[in-house]
Amino acid sequence: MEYSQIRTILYQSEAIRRIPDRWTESPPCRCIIDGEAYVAFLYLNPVDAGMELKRMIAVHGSRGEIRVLEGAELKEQYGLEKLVFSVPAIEDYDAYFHDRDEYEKLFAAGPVFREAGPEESGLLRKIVGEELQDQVFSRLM
Amino acid sequence: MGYVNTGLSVLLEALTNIQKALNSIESTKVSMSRKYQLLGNAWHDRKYRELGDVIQECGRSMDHALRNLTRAAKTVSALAHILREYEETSLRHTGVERGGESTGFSWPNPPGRPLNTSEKHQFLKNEMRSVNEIIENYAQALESRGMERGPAMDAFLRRQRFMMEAEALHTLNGDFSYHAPVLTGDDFDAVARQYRANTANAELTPRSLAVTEYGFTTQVVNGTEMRVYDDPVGTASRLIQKQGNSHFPMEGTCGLCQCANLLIMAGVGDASEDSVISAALHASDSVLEDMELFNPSQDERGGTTTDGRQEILFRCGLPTQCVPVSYDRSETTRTLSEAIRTGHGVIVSVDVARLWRNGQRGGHAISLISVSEDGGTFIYSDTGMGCVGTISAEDLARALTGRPANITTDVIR
Repeated sequence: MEYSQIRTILYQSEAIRRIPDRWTESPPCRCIIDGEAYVAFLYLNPVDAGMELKRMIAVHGSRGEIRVLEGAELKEQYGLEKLVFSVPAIEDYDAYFHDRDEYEKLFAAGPVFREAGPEESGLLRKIVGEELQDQVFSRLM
Repeated sequence: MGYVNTGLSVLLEALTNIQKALNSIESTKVSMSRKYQLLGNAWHDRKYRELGDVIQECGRSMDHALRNLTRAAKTVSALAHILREYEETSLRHTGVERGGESTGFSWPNPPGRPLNTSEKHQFLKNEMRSVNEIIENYAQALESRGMERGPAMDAFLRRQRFMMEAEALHTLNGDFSYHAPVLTGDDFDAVARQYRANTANAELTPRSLAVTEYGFTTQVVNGTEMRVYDDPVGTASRLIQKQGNSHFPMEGTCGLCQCANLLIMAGVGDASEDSVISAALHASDSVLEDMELFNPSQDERGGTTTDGRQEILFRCGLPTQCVPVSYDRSETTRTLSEAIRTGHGVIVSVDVARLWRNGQRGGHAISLISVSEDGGTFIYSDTGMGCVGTISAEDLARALTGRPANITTDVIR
């Protein structure tokens, strides 16, 4: 399934209609749920200490079915130690959005389910910060 | 030494019961007075006058009881506040604050433990029902004074309703300083006198037109002259400018304010942040949960989702569709442009990092109030910044979060 189809499934889902306005969406990432491959979008709520991981909406890589996992379920499923993470401050907005756009282009290029290359991983780390990358994204596969 | 064992939930229940007693006494007074007047249509002798003296004396006793109960309510309210502060001090020592719900402390003899979020929601619902009863009592009190049920009475009662519902929410969040006024016979007399001759002209139901009544005019918007749909400058002056200005203790109300703005654009004269919050409080459990009514931070209370806004607007008489964003964002901005220029109301969800670039993160609801004739520029209401802004179609496309837009089913202007 192509990335554009996965995004379309997400946008047309009931699940996204129930995401509160305040929560911000992470860049897409690959994840394994119950042994199957999904493209996941994490939703985080800005709090004083950083960003709190609230929910994941995942789209199955070939069947397109949606799975929704709440924060507590994510903690249990992936062995997360906490749900609140610090994120880097955005110093240069143009550079930040350029990195996000570039990451999404790399993610969408070619087969969705492949190992992330160093450029893709590096961009993700810059966008979401070390804590989220090391303690969440890297554990989803 | 006396032994006292109580808890916050017990005190809050006592406050509710005192309020019910206050309103029961007031409605009994009104009822006695009304019945005495009705009897006077066919009865004019000395016995009737003596009955009048008895009723007057009863009325004075009831006023005395009302004053005592009002004082008691203030005392219980102050005690609840102190108890709440005490519990929160102990709770922070032992437990973790989580979304407005505290854990870690338990009284040795329940009841006395803090209310959890689910219990607070239930308490709020009970309060809403009490408010409904009180409003009906007020309506009868005004009717007995010659005021007819209709738009004028509804407008007055709506304001009383907002204040009582706001008081309930303030109380549940540990703020006992906010009190809705308890109306007395004198207040009803004054209201009836004031409103008897007035008929409120505010339209209460949203417009539903066959086609839009507006086209494009040339206007200067934020310093730039352009041909725009309808009159965004004039429209903006009628809308809610800044969120967080209601009676209710919540400030994260962008989605709720934009719901009110759509209602205002649809011609509902008395739509306000208060009225939409009140509608939301009577909505489904999922709407209440998303509002995070008991979050420790007022900034984080009042949130909505696309689905929630659809439900709230439907309750207010304005049906909407949830229109998904397209992968090709330019297709979405064309859809939004078409919706606006054909007279539909539009609320979208945007990324504040894109819109504001001020260090803040998160999503935010804005309404699109106009569009340039070429579709290249949108004019939007932003109650977070308290401004009306312009944004290019390309920037709007990038700023959309991917959540569906709420677009009115009907043509509203």
